[in-house]
Amino acid sequence: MSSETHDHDAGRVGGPEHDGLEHAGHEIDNYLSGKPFFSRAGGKIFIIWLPMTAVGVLISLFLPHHIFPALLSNQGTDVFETMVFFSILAAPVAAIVYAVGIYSLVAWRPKKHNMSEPPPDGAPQRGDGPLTTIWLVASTALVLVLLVWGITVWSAQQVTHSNTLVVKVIGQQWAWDFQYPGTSVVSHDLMLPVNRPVEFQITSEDITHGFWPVNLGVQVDANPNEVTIIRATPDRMGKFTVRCSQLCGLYHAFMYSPGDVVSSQQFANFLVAQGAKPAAAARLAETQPTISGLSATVAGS
Amino acid sequence: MVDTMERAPAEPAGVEPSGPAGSRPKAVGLIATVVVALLLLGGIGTFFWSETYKSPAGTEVAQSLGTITYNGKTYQHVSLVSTTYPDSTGVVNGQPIHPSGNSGWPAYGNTNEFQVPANSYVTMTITQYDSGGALNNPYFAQVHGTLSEVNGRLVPNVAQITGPNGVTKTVSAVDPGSVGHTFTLRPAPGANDQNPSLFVSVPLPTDTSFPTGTTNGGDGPGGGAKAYTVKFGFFVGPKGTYAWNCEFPCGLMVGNFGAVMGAYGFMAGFLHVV
Amino acid sequence: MSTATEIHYLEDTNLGPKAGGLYRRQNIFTGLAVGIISGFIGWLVSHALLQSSNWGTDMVVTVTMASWVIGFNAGMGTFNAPFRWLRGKDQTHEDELYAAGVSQGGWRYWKYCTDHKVVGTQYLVFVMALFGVGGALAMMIRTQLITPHSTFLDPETYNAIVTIHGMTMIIATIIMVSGPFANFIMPIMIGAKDMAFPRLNAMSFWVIFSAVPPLMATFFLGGVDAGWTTYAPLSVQAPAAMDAFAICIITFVVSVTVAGINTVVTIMTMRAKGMTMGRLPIFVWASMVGGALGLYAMPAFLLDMSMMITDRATGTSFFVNQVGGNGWLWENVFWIMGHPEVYVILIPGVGAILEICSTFARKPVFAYKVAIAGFVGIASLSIMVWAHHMFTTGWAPLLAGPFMVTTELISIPTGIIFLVIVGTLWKGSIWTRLPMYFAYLFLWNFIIGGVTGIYLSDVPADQYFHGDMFVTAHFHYTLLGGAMIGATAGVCYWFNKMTGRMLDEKIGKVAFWFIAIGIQVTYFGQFWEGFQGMPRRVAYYDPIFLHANQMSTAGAYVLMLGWLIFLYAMIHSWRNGEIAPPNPWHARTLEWLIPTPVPLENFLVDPVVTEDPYGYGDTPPPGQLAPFAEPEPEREPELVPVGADASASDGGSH
Ligand SMILES: [Cu+2]
Ligand SMILES: [Cu+2]
Repeated sequence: MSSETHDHDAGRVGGPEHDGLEHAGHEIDNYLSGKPFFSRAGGKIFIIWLPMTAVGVLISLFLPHHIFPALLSNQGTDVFETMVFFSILAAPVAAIVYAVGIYSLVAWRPKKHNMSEPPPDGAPQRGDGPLTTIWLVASTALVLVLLVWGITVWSAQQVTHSNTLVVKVIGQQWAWDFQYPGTSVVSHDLMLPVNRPVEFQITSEDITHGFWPVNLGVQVDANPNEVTIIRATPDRMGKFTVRCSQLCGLYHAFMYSPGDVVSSQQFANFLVAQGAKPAAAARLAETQPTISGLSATVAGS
Repeated sequence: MVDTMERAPAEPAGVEPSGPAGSRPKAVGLIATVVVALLLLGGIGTFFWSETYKSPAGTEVAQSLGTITYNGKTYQHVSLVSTTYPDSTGVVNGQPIHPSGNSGWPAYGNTNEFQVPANSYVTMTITQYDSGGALNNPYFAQVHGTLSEVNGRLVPNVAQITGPNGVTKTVSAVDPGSVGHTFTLRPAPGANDQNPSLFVSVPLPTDTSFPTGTTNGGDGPGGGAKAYTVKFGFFVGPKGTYAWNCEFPCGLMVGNFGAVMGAYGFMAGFLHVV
Repeated sequence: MSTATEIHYLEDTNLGPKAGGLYRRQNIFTGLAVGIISGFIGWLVSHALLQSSNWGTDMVVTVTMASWVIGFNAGMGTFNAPFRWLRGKDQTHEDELYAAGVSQGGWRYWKYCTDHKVVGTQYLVFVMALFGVGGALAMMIRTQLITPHSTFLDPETYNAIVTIHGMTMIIATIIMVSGPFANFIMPIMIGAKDMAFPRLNAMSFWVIFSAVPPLMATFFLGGVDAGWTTYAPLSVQAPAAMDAFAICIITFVVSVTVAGINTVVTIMTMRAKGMTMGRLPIFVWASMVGGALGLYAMPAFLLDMSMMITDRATGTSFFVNQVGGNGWLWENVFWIMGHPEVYVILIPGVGAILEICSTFARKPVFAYKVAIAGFVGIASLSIMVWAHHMFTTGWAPLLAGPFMVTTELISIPTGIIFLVIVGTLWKGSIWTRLPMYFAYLFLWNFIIGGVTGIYLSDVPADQYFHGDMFVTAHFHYTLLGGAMIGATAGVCYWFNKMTGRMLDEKIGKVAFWFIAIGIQVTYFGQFWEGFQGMPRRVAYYDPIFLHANQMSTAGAYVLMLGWLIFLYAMIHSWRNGEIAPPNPWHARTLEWLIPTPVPLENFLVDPVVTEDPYGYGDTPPPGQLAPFAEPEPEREPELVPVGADASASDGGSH
C-alpha cells in the first residue's frame, strides 16, 4: 500500500479493510487455472432457461389469438404472424437474460453474510472474447432474420392488383368520410366488399389525422394537400372501426367511423341505397379472382 | 481530528440535520407524505375539474312532447332548442351567451350541454343568427342521419329550414357556399355497435350576401337577425355521452379550426343520453 | 477540535465584504422579481404595439415569455460575468470564490452557484419536482380513463394535460441523470475539481429552471392540444399556449446544449493525471456519449420550435400544407431530435446501472471496451433511424425499408448492453443492497421495452400498432422502466455521497416493490389496450378497452404510491438518515475515495490514477484519499497516487 495513501477520514470508514484478494470461492480458481469458466453454472442456467423459453413460445403462440381483435384482411394476418414469429424469436433471448438474472440471485448471492459489508470480491473477469463474439454473431443473425421477414412481408404488401377498388378517404376535424369514385356516394361509414383488393387514397381537409381501419391491420396519416395511399385486401366479413391514430385536437377521441366488410351483393346494395346508379354499383362490387403474380406490379418501382 | 459534518453540509437550506436516525416514527412521516401528496393531487384534480366543462348555463334538459310510434314501436318524444350567435360575449334576455366568452367568437347558446332520455326520439330546433361562408368539405352541406317529421311522417336525411322570408322548405342539402354552422353529432366510440349507427349532421344555412365576419346585419338577439330556423329529428340509442360540434370552419389558423373551434363549450359540446 | 492539524477548507475562506459584486444581492427571489417585472414589461410593450396589428396574440405571448426568461436569468446573475468581462472588469478570484458558494451556507442552493456539487443537488431537487408535476398530470390522465366516458375532464383540458405530462417528463428524464449525477459525481469520478465551465454549469440549471413556468403557463393560455410531439399543422392551429410551449423548449434546449458542451469538454480536458480514456468509469463514458448525442440532437428541436413560432406569430408557412409548407418537415426535424433524444435519456441511465452492477457484483464491468462500443454504436445508429417514427405518415414510402434496417440494427448495440450487464453479474458476488434491486428491475423492464420495440420497428406490424397505446406502453417501459429506474438506482447509489446521509433502505425496499409491480401492471394494461386497438391520447374510449384501462389505472395508483414512498425515503433520510461514511459500498471510483460531505473543489490534493476502478478480485482496494494537505502555496500540489501499482511506479509513469 502506497505510503501517500492515507486514511484520515475521522475513523468513519466502516470495518477493517479486507485485502481484496479473497475471492468468492473456488470459481475464481477455475478462472485462474484456465478451466472453462462457464461450465459449472451453464448447465443450471440452461435448466432455468429451457422452461422459460418454452413458456415464452407458448405465450407467443396462443396469447395473440386472445388479445387481437378479429383481423379481417391479409395485412391483418401479416401483423398477426409477425407478432407470433417475433415473439418466438424473442423468447429465448429474453429468457437467457432473465435466467442469468435469476440464477445470479439464487446462486451467486453469498449466504449468511452481513449486509452492511460487501461480500468477498467476485471473479476478476474483465471480458470474454469468444462469448462476446458469439453474442454479437447471434444477435446480428437474429436481426438479419427479422429484417428478411420484415422486408419480405412489406414488399409483398406493395403488390398492386388490377381489379383494385379505390376508396377516397377524407379526414377532417373530427369525422371521416369515404367517397367511392365512379359513383356519387359519400358515406360516413366505410363499407368494403370481401376479397376485393382496396386502395385507400387518403387526404385531409385541415390538419394531420391518422386513418386507421383497425381490423384491416393498416394505417397511414391523412395530410392536408397530400394524398397518401395504403392497400389491403379484406378477406373475412365482419364489422370493424376506423379510428384516428394521430392526435387531432378537441374531439380526437370521437373521430371514428363504423366499418363493415360485406359480401359484394351487400356492398352493391349499400351503394345503391346511398344513391349510386345500379350499374355503377355493380361494377364497383364485382369481385374477380386475382392472380397476383400475373397482374401485379410493385408500387413505386 | 476533524468532524467534517461541521462544514457546510451538502444539503439545501432549510433541511438541517436534526438528530439521529429514527428519532421520529417512520410510519408517521410516511403516512404524512402520502397524505400530503394525495391532498396536493386532489387539489390539482379539483383545479382541472373546475376549469373543465364550463357550460354557459348548465345542462339543457329536453322537454317532453309525449310519445311517437315508429315501425310499430313507441318511443319517448322530446324536444331540444338551441341557437347560434355571432358573438359569445353578447347578452340575450339579460343572460350572457357565454359567461367566459371571447369577443368575436361565435357560440351555441345558451348552453352547449344537452340531456335527453335514452332510446328516445329527439326533435331539435336550432335558430341560426350568424354569418358564414364556404365549408371545408361540402359533405357537411348535406343532411345526414336524421329522421325528420314531415307532415306526420318520418323522412330520412332531411331537415326543415325556415328562411328569413318565413318560407319553410324540407331539404336534404343546402348550398355549401353559404353555411353558417353545422350541428354534427356522434356517440362516444363503442356505442355505435348498436344498429343503426348514429351520425347526425345538419347544416345551418346563412345568407352570404352579408359580408363574412359580421352578423346578418340586423338587430335581433345577440346582434344577429334574419334567422334561419332549422328543425330536424333523430333517434338516440343507449345511455352514453354523445359529442356534437360544428363543422363549419368558423375559427382561426389552419383550416379555420383553431381558436373557437378548438375550445370546448362554444362550437362543441355534449349530448348526455341518460 | 484538535489543533494538531489545522485544515484550511476553501469554503471557510474569509472573503472581503465586496467579494462577488452583484452576486451578493442576487438569489432566486431577485430572479423571480426581475423575471416577473421583465415579463410584465414585455407584455405591456408588445401588447401596446402589436395586439391590434396583424401580429397579434402569438407575438405578445412569445415576447412576454421570452422577456420572463431573459429577466429571470438577469436577476439570477447569469449575465453578470460576461457583462463584467465586456466592461473590462473581469471577475476577481474572490468573486469566483463567492460565486462558488464560499461562506454562504445553505443560501448557495438558492443562488447562481458555480460549485458543481451545488448544481448537481439543485438538479436533483428540481428533477424530483418535475417528476411530481408530471406524475400528478399522469394521475389525472389515468383517473379520467377509469371509465370509458368519464366526465372528470373535458377533452380540451385532457389534451392540455396529456401534452404537458409528456413534455414535463421528457424534460425531467433528459436531465434526471445528466443533471444530478453528471454534475455532482462525474467530475469527481474523473478527478476534477469542478466542471470545465462552472459558470455555464450554473447557467444550465437556472436557464432550465426558467423554462418551466412558461410550460405551466400553457394551462392558462388555452392549453396545448397537440401532444408533446406537437405535430404541425395541428400545433400551428393550437391556442396561444403553443407559443409559451415553444419558448419553454427553446430555453430548455439552450440549457441542455450548454450542459452537454460542459460535460463533453470536462471529460475531455479535466481528467486527473493518469485518468486515461481507458480508465474512465463507465458512467463517465455514458455521460459523455449521452452529452455528445444531445449536442447533435437538441438543436434540431430549437430549430423546429423557432420555425413554429414564426409560423404562428409572423405568418411564415414552414409547416402549413395549405400555404406551401409541409407538416412532414416538422415531423422530420422533430424526430431527428426525438429519436437520439431517447438515447440521450437512456445511455447515462445505463451507465449508472453498469457502475452499480460492477460495485454490487464485486466484479469489473464485463467487456468494458465492448460496452463503450455499444454506447457509441447506439449513439451513431440513433441519428439514422428517425423516420421509423414516420412509417405510417405516408412520407417517402420507399424509405420504409432502409429505416427498418437501421432501426433493427440498433438492437445489436442494445444487445451489447444486456451482454455487459449479464456478464458483470456472471459469477459475481451479488450484494443485494437497494441500488442493486433497481438494477435488476432495470434488467427486467428493459428487456420488455426492447422486445416490444422490435415489433414497432417492423413496418407491417407498425402499421397496426402505430399511434396506439402499444407505443405508449413500449416507450414507458424503456423510459420509465429503463432509464428512470436507472436514475433511481443512481439515487440509491449516490444519495449518501450527495447528501452526507445514507438512504433508508427499509423504506426504499417497500417503495421498490410498489414501483416494480406498479410498472408491470400499468404498462401491461396499456399493451393490452394497444393489442385491442385503442388509439393514444384519447379522453374517451370504446368500452371494449374498459378492463385493460382499469388494469392500467390500478397499476398507476400502485406506482404512484411507490414513488411517494420513495420520496419519503429520500426526505426522511436527507433529514434524519444515518451519517454516511465516505465509501459505504467499498467501491473504487474516485468519488468514494474522498470525504463525505465532499469539500469544495473535491480534491485538496490532486489524485494520480494508476489503474481503472474495476480491479475487484484482482488488486487491493484503494484507500481513502487525504481530505487535506498542508497548505504550502509556493509548492506544486502534492500528487497522490491512486491504485495498486502506485507505490511501485511512484505515480503516473504508465
Ligand atoms: Cu383525427
Ligand atoms: Cu361553427
